[in-house]
Amino acid sequence: MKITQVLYKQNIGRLIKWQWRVQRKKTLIETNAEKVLASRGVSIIDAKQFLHEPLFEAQKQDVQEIFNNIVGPIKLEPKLNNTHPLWSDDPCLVYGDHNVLVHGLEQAKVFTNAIEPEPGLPKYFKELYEAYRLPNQDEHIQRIIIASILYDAVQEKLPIRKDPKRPAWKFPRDYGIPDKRRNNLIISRMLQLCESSVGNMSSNKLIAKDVFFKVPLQRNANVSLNLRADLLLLSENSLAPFMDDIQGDLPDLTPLDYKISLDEINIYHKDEFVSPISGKFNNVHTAFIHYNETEVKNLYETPVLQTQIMGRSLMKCYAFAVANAKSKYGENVKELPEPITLQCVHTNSQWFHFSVFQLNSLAGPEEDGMKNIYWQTPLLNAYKNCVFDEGVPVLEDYNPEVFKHFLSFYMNGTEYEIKL
Amino acid sequence: MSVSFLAPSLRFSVFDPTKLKTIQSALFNVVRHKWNFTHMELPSPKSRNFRREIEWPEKYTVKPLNNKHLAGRDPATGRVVVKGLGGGIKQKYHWVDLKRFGPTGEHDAPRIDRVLEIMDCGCRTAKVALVGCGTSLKYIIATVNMKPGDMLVTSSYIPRIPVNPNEGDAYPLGALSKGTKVHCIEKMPGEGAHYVMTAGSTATILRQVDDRVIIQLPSKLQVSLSKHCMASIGQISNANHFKEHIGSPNRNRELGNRPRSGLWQRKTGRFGRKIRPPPPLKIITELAPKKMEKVTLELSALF
Repeated sequence: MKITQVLYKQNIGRLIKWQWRVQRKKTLIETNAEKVLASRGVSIIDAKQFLHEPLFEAQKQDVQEIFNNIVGPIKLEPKLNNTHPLWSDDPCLVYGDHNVLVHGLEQAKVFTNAIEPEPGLPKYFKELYEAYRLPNQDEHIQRIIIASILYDAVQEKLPIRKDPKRPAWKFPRDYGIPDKRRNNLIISRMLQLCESSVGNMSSNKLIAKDVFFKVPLQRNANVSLNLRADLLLLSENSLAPFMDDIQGDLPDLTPLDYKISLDEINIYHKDEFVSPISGKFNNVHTAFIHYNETEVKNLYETPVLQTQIMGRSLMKCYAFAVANAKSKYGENVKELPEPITLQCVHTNSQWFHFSVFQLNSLAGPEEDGMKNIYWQTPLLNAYKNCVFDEGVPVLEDYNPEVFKHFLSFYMNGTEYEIKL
Repeated sequence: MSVSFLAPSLRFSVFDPTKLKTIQSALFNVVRHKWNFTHMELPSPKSRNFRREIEWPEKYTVKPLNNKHLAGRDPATGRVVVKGLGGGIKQKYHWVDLKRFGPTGEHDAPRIDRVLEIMDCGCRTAKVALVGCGTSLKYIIATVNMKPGDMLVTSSYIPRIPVNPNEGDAYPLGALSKGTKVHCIEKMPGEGAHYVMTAGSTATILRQVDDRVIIQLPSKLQVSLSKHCMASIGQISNANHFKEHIGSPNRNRELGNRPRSGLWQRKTGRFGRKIRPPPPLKIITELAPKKMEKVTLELSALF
């Protein structure tokens, strides 16, 4: 006798299966039974609650038991949802290094409660950059630009290029100096040139690299400015304010709120203030900001506009000024004993944006406080093109104005400053 | 000879594929000899989009969304459902907010949005507009003449006299006069736009009958909708889309379509066109018919 599965002699199984496949899906027909039973006071219980899949239920229990009895080697990190210990239902609006404001400079002016009195820098700077000149400064700067953009030996994979008109085309992969390194080289070398040429004045300044600030603000919502200064020039003496007071109106953004396009997060430390400015050198003299194309992006992935770049300078200036004020006069300071003035250089190593910010009060645009003041230049191109042309390094259309601005920013507030 | 667990037991339960899988693996001996055990039931080609599957986040965002190409395959079973799809350049999906509602009160100020940018979305034929109001940003479908800086009015209130709308505004159908060109029309109040969403298309309001508004769709079908259904004003952008030529077979592959076989020939119309009566007025009632529960009966020995 064969001890295996019984095979049916007459194979009508196929027919049965066909029938089952067709007939197994049924739509229930509505009957009057529920109404009749309800009228007679008979309660209806869903029959499904008595149906169980015995095997499946047992397996589920086994798995649960295994999970309960596991003694894990490490503690799992808390999940980033509302079970997280730092979760707060009241969200925090964060402006970070990768953000740009959707409405650009106008929105930044309202956010920072700042007014631009006139186009260009304060008149005082014009006198400054006519007064100073380093020997052979333009030759030095041209060498610095070529050395930072072409001669540096680092070769890394650069981001993939895409042509929107030919989306299927694949460009050969580019290798070169990454934007972060390129910006860092050019700024630090220009700063070094100033320091080495101007001599013992540099003893009054401290250079800090990659300084991170976290500035909490209350603007009808929790707002936090989490920003990095790539290079910070700290000085012993504060810069003198350029104007006493200013009157004027902020730009009209209706129907937009000035907090639009900030990141919303729910896991955060409330009112956390981070600022490493302390001790003898507790004045921000100049902040150098990098514009890294791989980092700064619009949330909706369209190219960043020029006005958004200017807005980014202003937002960073404001954050550093508020951080400086808070670390100088205490975290809860509202009215400043004297204004805080700082300078800012924003660059992607081709264009340079020079701006000066004077913080008069920490009040937001809703309050009737003093307005802050902002001066800026347009974006100045240091050169038009800097490439290897058939193996020869070429620097086209060098602009000497850029370093004049740079030097005047460096010399502002030093003891060699011109006396009027 | 019979083994006890082979006895066919008939059970009635709601069909759950995950449970079925467990049972099949446990009773593998039984199904080994069964003919056509691998029968799969595939979804209808019209049940969803089989070109791409979008990774929806939990919360609305204007960040363009990543997606997976399905190439006509059903993601559950992996089998081809729609032929002729596959490949193509990956595009990001712009999540368009189809629900445009405003205040319903008579004296409430309408919601006003500012158009910030008009952009292309690779996953749809029409252009999308980035609009902002307060602290929120969203995408809507752009109209022909929309440009950055425009102010769009949205109100859900139906006044006694029809409003005089501008292009891109959103009002209930009952608030608009007859002859108005509209798009992004709701099928049921509150459900979000359903009709007229493709490039260059527009519907016309024909007449009002009591609480219902009759519109004519681009397909000439007349539809009777509730007067509370929201609609946007104007014609949808990228109106020349239908005139654009694909140009080459390679370009067709870039768009994600696979080659077709056979010579396609347009009908000549030599013997005239069949005269059919116009389709009857389609009435969309707010009371959807109650759907009865579907059950799947399982016979564990067979399936």
